[in-house]
Amino acid sequence: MIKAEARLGVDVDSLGDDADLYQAGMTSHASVNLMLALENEFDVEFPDRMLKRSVFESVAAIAAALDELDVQAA
Amino acid sequence: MTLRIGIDLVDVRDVEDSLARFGSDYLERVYTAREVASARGGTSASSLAAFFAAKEATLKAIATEREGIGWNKIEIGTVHGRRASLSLSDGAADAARSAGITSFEVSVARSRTHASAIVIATGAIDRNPAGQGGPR
Repeated sequence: MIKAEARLGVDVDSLGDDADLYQAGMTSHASVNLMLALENEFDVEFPDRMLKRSVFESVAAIAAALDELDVQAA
Repeated sequence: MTLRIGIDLVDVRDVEDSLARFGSDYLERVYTAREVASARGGTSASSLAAFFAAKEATLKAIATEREGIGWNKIEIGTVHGRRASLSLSDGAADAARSAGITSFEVSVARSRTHASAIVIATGAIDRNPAGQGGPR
């Protein structure tokens, strides 16, 4: 999904889970697409309080955010 | 005195792609109803790109990493020439207030392929000196 939405300048498969996606080329607008795709795929909604750079900054950060949303939905 | 600046550049094709793929979800999460109406009911990707650039520039000027802010909590008003009006609600208004920001100057530029915006935010008291706010 990150490969499809983030529009990185590098191969996402070459990045570690903690690699900075913004430094790898993800723009602010691309982060919108990534958010919407994640919401559709996992049937969650990111609340406004989570709409900040650090939440979408890395694969690890995104996974942690999804975990948090899953816990809230439970 | 508080003085902050934000800038952003958006590729119109990215907005076209978002509209095609996410449709009303994209419009509702990012833009206000007035912005959508102003952008020919959400069909003008160029206008939406300009609005998004101005929103992101504003966020860069006011935001910290303490709390996120929804894009639709920043409304870009009518663009007069290269200047635009701006209004904040909810978390965006709170963030500006916390930073001591009381006024904004917004300028946008558009080409066939891109939109850009720069925002200068000012206030009387710097409640969050440089180094205590995070980039967005």
